[in-house]
Amino acid sequence: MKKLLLICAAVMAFAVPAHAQLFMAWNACDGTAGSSTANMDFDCTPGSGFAADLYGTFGLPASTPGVVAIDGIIDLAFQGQTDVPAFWHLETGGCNSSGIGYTFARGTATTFCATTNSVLFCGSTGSGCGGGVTAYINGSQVPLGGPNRARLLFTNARPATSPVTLPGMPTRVFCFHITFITDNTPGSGGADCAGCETPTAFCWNQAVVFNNTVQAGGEGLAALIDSATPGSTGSIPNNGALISVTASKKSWGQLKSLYR
Amino acid sequence: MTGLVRKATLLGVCGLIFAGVASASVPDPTKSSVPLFVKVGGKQTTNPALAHGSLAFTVTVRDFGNNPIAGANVEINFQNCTDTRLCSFNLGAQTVDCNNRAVRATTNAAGQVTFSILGGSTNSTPPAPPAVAAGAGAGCVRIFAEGIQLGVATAVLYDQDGAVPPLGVGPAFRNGVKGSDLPIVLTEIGAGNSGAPYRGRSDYTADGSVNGFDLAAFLVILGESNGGSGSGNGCSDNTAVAVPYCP
Repeated sequence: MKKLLLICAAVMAFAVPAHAQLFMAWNACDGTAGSSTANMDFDCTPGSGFAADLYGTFGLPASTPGVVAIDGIIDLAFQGQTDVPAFWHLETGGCNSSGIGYTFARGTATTFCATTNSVLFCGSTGSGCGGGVTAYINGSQVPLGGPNRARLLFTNARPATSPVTLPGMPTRVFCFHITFITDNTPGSGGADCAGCETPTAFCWNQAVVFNNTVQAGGEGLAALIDSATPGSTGSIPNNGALISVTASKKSWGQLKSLYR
Repeated sequence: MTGLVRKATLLGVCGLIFAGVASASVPDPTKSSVPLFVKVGGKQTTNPALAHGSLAFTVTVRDFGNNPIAGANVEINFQNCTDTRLCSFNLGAQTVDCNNRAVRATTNAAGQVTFSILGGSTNSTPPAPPAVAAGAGAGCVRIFAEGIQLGVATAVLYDQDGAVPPLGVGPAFRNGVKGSDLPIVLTEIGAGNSGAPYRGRSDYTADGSVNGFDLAAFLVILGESNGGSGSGNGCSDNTAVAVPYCP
């Protein structure tokens, strides 16, 4: 009996899956030359034409067939602020709504995201996919966040009839390229949105991967990856932010319960 | 006295027979089957006489003895679906009752009737999440047979904005599933993922939640519509016909 228990324990230990991880970096996909998870100072000088590029890739615990969609959450926290600065009101109708760009297209060149660490969910030019930023919410709208928080939600999806198999770690999958531009800083001639210099922490807090394998309740939940997984990129700063983003996330159990 | 007993017995037997006949034709919700989700869409572009294929669903009507009831009048009622507008067009053997916001048809010998509901939604300008446009949640569709409610279903709407005036035909109008529905669906997903109340119209995977999985399903609907076999024509037959949505 003891031997059996010992064997079971050993099997269980070895059965623990490889960790799924989220990777986010400035300038290029994490792991590609030129990428950085260190501080990025925004040039907020009017007319600077500055743009900051934020790239996201992720790794799955194992090869996953039938993948059709990815939901993601990126949280932002503004150091020393009691609300969300105007520059960071990136939502539709917000002061700086034109200050953000999003694409799920990696591009055909591998300069910024080497193919070795950015397998494609969508085509390199974005073909075969739909999606984008689905919501950008602020302050008290962020669940359990605070007045100085914002949350960006995005979805990338393929037609359900055209799923793909994504590899497991250590191979990484390209997910997004977000561009922040400073054309709307005060005095720039655009909208005068103050707060570009605000120290800000960014955290890709969660990715939910859906596949075509219908599970109990009908939802195709293939993986839930969050920033707490060891090895994932934690908060990455700009403008010298020293704070981190810890925000509420749905656990796997909570997600499953939604679909029962 | 004997005659009286005979008459009473005869009447009693007749009563039992009539009662049996009546029971046999009464739909039993526990023995009948209805869908949990009703998908509402449009006509195909390549052949406007046909509805988008994935709209079809079947209602089966049975009595307490599990016997199929032929000739039963089945009604799909959308009175509680505040964001649904039916097409006034009578598709096949279906009849549309605009006043009561219902579609009716009759079961066959197997007690079955198959519907394809034509219509669209009024969700043309969704608010920024976490707000969500008004509309029905789960179970707004009521399904009746011979006046007896068999069950409820959630209305899923392929054409998010097709029923918003001005109604017309062609690229300048909203009628029909097209690319302009995609940003609306994205906003709906953003609302769903931000904790907004559930709206059945965007639950394309019919699983009780609205998220990225629904976008994958909607992309199929959009692709079929752009390809001519989906809901591209909305309520319309062709470019010369005004779009006949119910009021």
